Amino acid sequence: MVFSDLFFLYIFLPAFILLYCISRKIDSNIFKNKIHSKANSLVSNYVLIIFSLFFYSWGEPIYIFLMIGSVFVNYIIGGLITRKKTSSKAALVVGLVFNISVIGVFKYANLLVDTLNLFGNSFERPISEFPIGISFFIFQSMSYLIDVYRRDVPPQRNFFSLLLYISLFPQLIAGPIVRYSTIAEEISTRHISIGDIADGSFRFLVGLGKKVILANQLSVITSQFLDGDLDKLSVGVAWIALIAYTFQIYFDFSGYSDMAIGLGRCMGFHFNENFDHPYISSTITEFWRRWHISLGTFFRDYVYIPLGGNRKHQPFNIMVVWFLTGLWHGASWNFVLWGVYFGIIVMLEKYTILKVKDKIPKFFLHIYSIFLIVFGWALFYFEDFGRLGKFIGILFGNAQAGWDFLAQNTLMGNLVLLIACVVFSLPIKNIVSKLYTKSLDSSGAAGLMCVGKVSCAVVLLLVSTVLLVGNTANPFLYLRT
Amino acid sequence: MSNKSKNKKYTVPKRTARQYKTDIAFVSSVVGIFTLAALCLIILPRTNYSETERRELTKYPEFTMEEYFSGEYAETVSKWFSDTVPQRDAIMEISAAIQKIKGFKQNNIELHGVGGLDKVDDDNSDVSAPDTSKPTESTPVESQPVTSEPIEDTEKTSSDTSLDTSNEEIKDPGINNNDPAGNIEINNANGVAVVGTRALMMYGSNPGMQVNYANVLNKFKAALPDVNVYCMLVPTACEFYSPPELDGYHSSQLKAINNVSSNLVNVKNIDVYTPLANHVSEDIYLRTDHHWAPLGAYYAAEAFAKAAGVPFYDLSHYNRVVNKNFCGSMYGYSNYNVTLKNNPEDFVYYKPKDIEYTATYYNYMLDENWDVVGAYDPYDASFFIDYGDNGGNNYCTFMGGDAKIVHVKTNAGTGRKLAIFKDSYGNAVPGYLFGSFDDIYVLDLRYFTYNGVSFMKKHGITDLLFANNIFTAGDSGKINSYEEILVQNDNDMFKMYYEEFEITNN
Repeated sequence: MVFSDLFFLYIFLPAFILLYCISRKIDSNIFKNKIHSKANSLVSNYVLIIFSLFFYSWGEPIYIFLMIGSVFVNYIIGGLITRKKTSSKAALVVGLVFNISVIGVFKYANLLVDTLNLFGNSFERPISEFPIGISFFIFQSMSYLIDVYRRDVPPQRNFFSLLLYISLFPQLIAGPIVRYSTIAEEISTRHISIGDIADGSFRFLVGLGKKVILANQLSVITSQFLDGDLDKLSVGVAWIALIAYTFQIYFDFSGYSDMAIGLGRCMGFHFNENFDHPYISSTITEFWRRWHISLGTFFRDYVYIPLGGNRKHQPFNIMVVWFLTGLWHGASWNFVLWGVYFGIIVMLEKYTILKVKDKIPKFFLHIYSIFLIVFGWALFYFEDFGRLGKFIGILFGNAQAGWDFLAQNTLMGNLVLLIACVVFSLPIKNIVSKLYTKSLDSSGAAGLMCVGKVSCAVVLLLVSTVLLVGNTANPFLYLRT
Repeated sequence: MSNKSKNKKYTVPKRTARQYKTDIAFVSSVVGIFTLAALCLIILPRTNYSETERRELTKYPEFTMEEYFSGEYAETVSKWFSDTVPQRDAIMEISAAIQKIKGFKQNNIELHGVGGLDKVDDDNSDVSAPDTSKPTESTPVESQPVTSEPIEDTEKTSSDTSLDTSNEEIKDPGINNNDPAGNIEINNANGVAVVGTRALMMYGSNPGMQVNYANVLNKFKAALPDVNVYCMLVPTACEFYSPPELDGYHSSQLKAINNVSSNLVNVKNIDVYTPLANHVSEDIYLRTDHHWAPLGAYYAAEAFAKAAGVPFYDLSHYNRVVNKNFCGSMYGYSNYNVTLKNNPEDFVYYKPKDIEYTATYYNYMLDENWDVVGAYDPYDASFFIDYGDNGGNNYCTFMGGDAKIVHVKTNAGTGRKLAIFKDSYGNAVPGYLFGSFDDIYVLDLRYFTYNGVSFMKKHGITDLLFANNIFTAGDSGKINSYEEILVQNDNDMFKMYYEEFEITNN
């Protein structure tokens, strides 16, 4: 199931909200008299697990058993890691090998087979489609094991609590990659204030709008031109399509993260931010600090730093991280190319731009970064290297026409949409929320702001709903990651 | 570095009393609206049929273990829920209106699914090399809702022989438009351009396929040496009404037609291009539908009658019937283009005044995949079925659709018997020929269960007209249908009516 689906919004979600509220009530009765217990969540956790499993099984009725099984193995290993100091490293290694094997088999075996077949073999692809969200739940499992090994958190004694952490439906299938340590406490003890619900629900609707109002509309442009006959594209159309994809993937993915963070918030969980206006970056290094933050920090903390970070063989460490970052995004070599492309740029920046950054006008830095980012999305988009090569050729002039009527028509026909995308890529959220906080000083302004916020929320909800009618195929781009 | 330092534990921020109040106000309003929307979606009756897209909407799936574990069940339930929302067509209109905000019209032209510059036109070098596979170049268009599901055939409701011209009899005339021509045509198209208030389906030429088309007609002629075989290829609106801005986005239909005619052997080419081109200032094409207008078919029929050497009655022998506020198939094909919806047109057709005829309907029964699965009792009815004002399916005026054989018997007394093998464009032609031929058999290339050659012989056909629009000459599926009709055996399914069939004809 995905969030941008009327069935999720109007069947699953109301049912969940209803039962979750009831279960919270029951919980508060249960824990009312247990003054010594810090915990306050029991029945509500089971409700969450049941809904989360239903949510996952809706799209993956078979692989759900793989997910549950993998949680069970991680649960056992988490316990083993802390049991004996001498064998904890061995347990960790076993756990990591297990997780890497699962993701290796279910996500990358096909890539391996395809690659071997390139050299004249004819093996059959072992997996038809890989499990939704496997990259997310396996990475979360690894973060759990490592955090436990590092004694950052105690191991989870209750299997269902660990299952809840992994399967929690807001973040299960497309991130963000929530670290176990981030929500370990909230699994047993969480508080939901009206402020959480207000902020969380608004955040959810903003995410829904990003996905349905912006990303889905952009997908009309991208699928039409990037999936079609490339020979027919003019240079102008190719660039418009690529820029549309640049915005599409941002609003699609950050919209999903917003929805996940918002939903989590409404349930009393506080996930870390995953995006921080990546397209305003002035360098690629900065871009990767703002884009998919939970993945970047994962690789930094669990790969880059253990490898030696910037203390020894830094270039090697950087390239390993970027190779893995690319590979994580999909089981195809173009993703690796995309990762390595950024790895090289980040490395070059270290020795060049980052040293003289302050002396270069910001404007030029932005142009430089945006160009490299947009071009990078071409590498990301085309899994077929033949088409990728052709497309890059078109971008740089090897086309039937430079600027044609179709380019003009597409640009004008989507001008408002594209301008909206630019505007919403800027940190206007910060400005608005500052205004909002300030308005709370006077009751009149506060009332006005509240009306404004309610109107925004209602428009986002209703417009998204209308646009989703009859729209039966709008999966998130990161779903199969 | 440990990640402990970065994972700040969440601390409940202090919120002022005023903030608390605004939060309460916000949450209750949003929850209220959300609940209202949810109740509407859950309680109000669901839509089962879309008038605009002319299709049955997704049905709630039956639960089976197999379907469930394949994920099919869940997918269909989700699809069903978003496909069949209450007041679907109205909401889709709102949706289209919202989507219009995303930009501005350029030169008063809106493009839907136009994929890019068309190179085929310049590339006629492979004319002599027929290809059997066509490139699937229009994937985006295929994903349009219109094409996704066939409509249930309709003639199920019309098995009673009392069906006459009043459409009151037909429960739902919309369903009667069983016209998969649209499906196939749009697959072949390079998208849709709405120029001013006129929608044009962009034409992409396929020279190799055109040779195949000519060849299959040649085979009919070779098998029926004593029959006059004619090829009428009808250009579509795109050829005449595309502004210069769209040059390069569609291929020349004249070239395509000439390519077919130059490959015909003993088959007579009927040039309808010239008469249509001479009348472009008249309403010879529908603006909001992918078909031509009945007036266009009149000029084409005139050209045909002349070529066939039969008498022809001019429009003074016909009553002009006007259906107001017609908005046709292009509204759906253009993904609900609001301009079309707001600018409906008159659907004008011509009914013979003083020319007598009887039309006998032999209707096929179709399954959900548009395959013929049976037949209904034959019945006599008017050739014209009035669809009234404010309709979307008025092109079905002619015989009510495609999935049938219609035999028209007239008093023309010319001794000539005509069979028309056609797509939906051909439906508009026979109505002008009731004074020209003694018998007319209207046969659809997609629904015909007899052997084409023996059928013609059995019924003493003297003239065989292939009347199709130019997209059909580039459509491998339809060309294959003709190939099959040449060799297939008579289908037993019609046995029960077959004798009657013969009696009618002798």
